[in-house]
Amino acid sequence: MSLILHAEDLSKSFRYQKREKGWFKSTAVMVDAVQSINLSIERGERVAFVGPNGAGKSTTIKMLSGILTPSSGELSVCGFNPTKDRRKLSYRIGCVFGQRSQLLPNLPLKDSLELFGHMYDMTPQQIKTRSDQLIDIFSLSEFIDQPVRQLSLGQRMRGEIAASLMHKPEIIFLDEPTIGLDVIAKRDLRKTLIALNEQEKTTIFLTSHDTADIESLSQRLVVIDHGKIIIDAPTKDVQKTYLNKKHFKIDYTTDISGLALPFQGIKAVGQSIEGTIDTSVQNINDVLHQLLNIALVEDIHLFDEELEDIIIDIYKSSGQGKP
Amino acid sequence: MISLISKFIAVFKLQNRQAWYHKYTALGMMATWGLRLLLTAILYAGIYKVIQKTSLKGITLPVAISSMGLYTLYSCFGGREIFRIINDEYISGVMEVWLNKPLPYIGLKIAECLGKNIPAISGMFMAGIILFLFSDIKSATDNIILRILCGIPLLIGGVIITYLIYSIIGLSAIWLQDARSVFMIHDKLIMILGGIYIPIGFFPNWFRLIGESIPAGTATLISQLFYPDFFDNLLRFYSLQIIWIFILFVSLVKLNKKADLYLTVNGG
Repeated sequence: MSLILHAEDLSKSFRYQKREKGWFKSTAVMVDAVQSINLSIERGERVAFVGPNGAGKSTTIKMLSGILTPSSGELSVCGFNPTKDRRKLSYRIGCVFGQRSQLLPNLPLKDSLELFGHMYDMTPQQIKTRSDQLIDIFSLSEFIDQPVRQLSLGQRMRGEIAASLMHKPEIIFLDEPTIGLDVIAKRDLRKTLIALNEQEKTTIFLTSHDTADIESLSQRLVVIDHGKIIIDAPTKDVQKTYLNKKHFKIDYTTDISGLALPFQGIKAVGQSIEGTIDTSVQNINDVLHQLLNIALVEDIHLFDEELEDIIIDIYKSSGQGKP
Repeated sequence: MISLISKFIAVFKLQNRQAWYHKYTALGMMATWGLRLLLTAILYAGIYKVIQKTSLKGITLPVAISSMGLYTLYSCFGGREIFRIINDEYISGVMEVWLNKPLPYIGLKIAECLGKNIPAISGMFMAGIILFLFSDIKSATDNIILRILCGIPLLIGGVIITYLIYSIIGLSAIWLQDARSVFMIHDKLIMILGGIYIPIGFFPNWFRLIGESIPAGTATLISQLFYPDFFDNLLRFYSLQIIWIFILFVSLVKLNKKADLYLTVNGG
């Protein structure tokens, strides 16, 4: 596997004028949106880039895709410097910004695919072949002749991603692609993106606030907060490392609300108790042993902490994030 | 270069297709521009009737109407819309979607703007042909064919200057955060100097000369196509347009480079 993206000490600062009392009074304030981040991505990887609002996700994605010029640092995407070779790089990358449309609103979706084909120097035959492929991969046939403004949000998003893939980019940057979609549309989109990654080996770089996107789509999780990368590891490892907490719910055959409970922080309601075991300070065998001896057990549920909670914990432990 | 031009043509074609897709909107645009010209003609016919003169500062009624009609023809090329697109896309953040495409943002937006305005341009040409056929302009002036042939480059030059000026004003939004104030000042200037309110033949000579020499006035020189002194000024008009196109193009390229470095979109 070879590197498709490499960033070294990448930083971006920008200035804004802070208004003060008085008509013409203002002070220039510098904001360090991204601070010396290092990141390498291999071809074909699916990477989730997450962080709270204002963490520097969008700024980073815009630098990687050549939209913004970094203040300092080294950057190479598909072998190009995005600032100097923006035009050349554009043939190798695709971008989708979840809240912004690049489709022609009054025309059927197929016309937008045609427009993107022409933009990327494709011949009419290449445009037709590639459109047919994308219609198939993204199941666009039902609404390909419908004007874009009449499409549902889920259909439009599939169209947006398909359009940005017309030129078969090596890497696609997706900035919150599932924002506003319902659960079915989200699930379908995730499946399609995984299929695309497997079939065409397209590298996927995704930002999202939806932990289900991260869990199901990404092999690697990069967490950024206050412009700094605080975690960069395989998604499964992050889950394992941070899985100190096991949630449990035990149903007994008799009412246990009057009984003395062995630990604090356990909630007893009628015939059930609920709580969380912190495995970093408690031995899970001891805890379960004591809980199972309270009364005759009818059913037991034991489950891991959800990725969303893990990410909140990561933000908190970084000492700066606001979950 | 050929590849770049073919991309712009593709954008232009698809935007034109989009403009015609909702036929009633397209017809409405055509009717609006056509009506505007017809109403101007009626208004000035009334004025000449009131003052009971056949010519004012050497400008006869057909020449005055044609002058304003030519300004209307020039303005329906949509040059001022490029400002709105750039300014609004910067404020809303939509600009970021187009910045990493394989063609320059400003060029892309100009092709888009021209494509969108084809219904208006068509409406204007049709209204212009009707007026031309049924008005006295043919008898009121000489060398009509030669004037039209000489006017085509002047119209193209004016449209180019307008797109360059409004693109520069649009790009200034990156520094000003919202450039509508600059736009409004320039917009009114170009309207006055172009003769949308009063044909510029009615202006005092010194004012007309200054107006013709600045970019806003140089863009609208086509409105003088049927003036008696048109051929006397033609070489000066061409020279002024070439000079301003060069200056504005260089300025736009430099500003665009600076904008690339300065740009922040949505806090990033």
